[in-house]
Amino acid sequence: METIHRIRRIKLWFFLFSLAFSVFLIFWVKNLLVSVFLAFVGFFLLKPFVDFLVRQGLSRLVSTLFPFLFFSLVFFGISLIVFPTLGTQVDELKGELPKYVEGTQKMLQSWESGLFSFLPAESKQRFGLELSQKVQQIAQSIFTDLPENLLSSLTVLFLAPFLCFFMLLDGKEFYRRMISTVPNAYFELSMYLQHQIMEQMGGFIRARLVESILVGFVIWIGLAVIQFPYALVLAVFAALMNLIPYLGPLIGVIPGILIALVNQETNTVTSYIVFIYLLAQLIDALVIVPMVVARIVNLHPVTVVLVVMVGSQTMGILGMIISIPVASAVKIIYASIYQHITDGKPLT
Amino acid sequence: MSLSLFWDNIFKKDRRVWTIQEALKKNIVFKDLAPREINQIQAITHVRSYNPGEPIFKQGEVGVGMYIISKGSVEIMYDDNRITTLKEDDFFGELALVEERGIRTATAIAKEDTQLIGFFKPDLIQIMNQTPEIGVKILFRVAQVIGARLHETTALVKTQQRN
Repeated sequence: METIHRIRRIKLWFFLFSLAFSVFLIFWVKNLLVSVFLAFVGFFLLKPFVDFLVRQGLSRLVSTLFPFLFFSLVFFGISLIVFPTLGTQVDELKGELPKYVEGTQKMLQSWESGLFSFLPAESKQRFGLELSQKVQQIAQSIFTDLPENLLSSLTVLFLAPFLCFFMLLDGKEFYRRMISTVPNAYFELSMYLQHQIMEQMGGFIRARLVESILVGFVIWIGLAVIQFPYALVLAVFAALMNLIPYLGPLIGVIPGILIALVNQETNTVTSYIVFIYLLAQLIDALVIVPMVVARIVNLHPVTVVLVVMVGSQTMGILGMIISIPVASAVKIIYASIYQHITDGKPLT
Repeated sequence: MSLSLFWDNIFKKDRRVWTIQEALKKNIVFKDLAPREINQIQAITHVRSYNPGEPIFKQGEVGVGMYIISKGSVEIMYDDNRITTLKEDDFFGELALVEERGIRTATAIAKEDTQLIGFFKPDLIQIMNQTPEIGVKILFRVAQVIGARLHETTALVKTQQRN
C-alpha cells in the first residue's frame, strides 16, 4: 500500500515539475512563446484537415504530412505574390516617414492648442513636447527594430512549423502520457478542463483568423480601388490589429486616417477611407460574427477591455492578441475548480 | 533466475493490452465493433488503479466518461446511502459520454484494490471526427443502455407507486 502511495506521490511531483518546467522554458527561451503560440494556431487550423484525411483511411503520418506540405506551398505561393509588393510599400513608407511624423506632430499641436486652451502656456508646451517625442519614438522604433524583428521572425518561421507538425502527429500520445500522471482525484477534472480549453481555443483562433483575413482583404481591395498609397501595408496592419477584440479595429483605422490627413486629401477621399474601414467591420459584424459567435468565448466586454490592457502592459502587441484566449482558459479553470471544491455548486 | 524466466509469462506487457481488449469485447457498449476497431479503442482508453475506499468520482462533480471494472469492485453511493456494488466487467458513468455538461449523480468508491478502464467523452468525440462509423456504433449502444436504464427506473417507480 505504501509503495502505491509513493508511486502516486512521485507521479504527482513529476507532473507538476514537467508542467512548471514547460511554462518556465516557454517564457525564458527567446522566441519560444511566439513559436508555441503560432504552432497552436497552425495546429487548430490544420487539425480538421488531418482528421478528414484520417477518416479517409490514411495513416496519421500521411494525414499530417499532406495538409502540412499543401498549406506550406500555398503560403509560399502567396508570399511570392504579396511579399514583394509589401516590401516595396514598406520601403516607400520608410522613406516618407519623416514627412508623416512631422505632419502628425503639427496636427497634434494644432489640436492641442484648441483642446487644452484652458491650460497654462508652460504645461501646454511640455505636453506638446512629450506627445511629439512619443510619436517620433514609436514611428522610428518600428523601423530601427525591423532587422532584429526579422531575425526573430526567421527563428520563429522554422520553429513554429516544426512544433506544429509534431503537435499534429504525436500531440495526442504526448497528452495521454502527461494526463496518466495526474492523481485520481483530479484526473477527470483535468481531462474536462483540457477538453473545454482546447475546444474554445480552437473555435476562437479559427474565428479570429477568418475575421482578420476577411477584414484585411476588404480593406486592401477598397484602398487599392481608390488608389490610396500603402494599401497593402495598411490592410495587413488592420488585419493584425483586428485580432485584438474591441480596441483592434479602432487602432487599425488610425494609420489610414493619419496618412489621408497629412497628405491633405480631399474630404471625399477621407470619407471613402472611413467608409472602407466601416464596410470591413460591418461585413465582419453581420456575416462572420453571427456564424462563429457561438464559438467565441463568452467574456463581458469590460473584462475583455481590461484583459487586453493587462496584455498590452505585460507583453505588448502579442500580449493584446493572446490575452483573450488566455483569459477564457483561466475563466474555465477557475469556474471548474470552484465547482469541484464546492461539491458541484456552480459559480454564480 | 533463468528457470523462473523460462516459466514466467514473458509476454506480461502484451497481456495487459489483451486484458483491456477482452474487457472491451465483453462490454455491451463496444459489442458491435470488429477486432480491428476494438484495437483502435484500446489505444485511447485510460487504465486507472484505485486503493480500497478511494473515490473514483463524487456526486455533483463534473464527469467526462464511463469506466469498465477490469479488476476489483466498486460501490455506488447516493447521499451516503449505498445503492449497489459493481463487480468485474460491470460498467458505470456512461451518461457522462453524451451529456452536455455531465454532472455525476452518484458517488463511486473502490471497495478493494481496483483497476478500471476509462473511456472518455473527448476520446469519443475524436473517434466521431476520425472514424464516424465506429462512433455511431458506440453511440447507438450507449443510447440503448440509457434507454434500458430508463425502462428499469420507470418500472421501479410504477411498482413503488402501486405499493
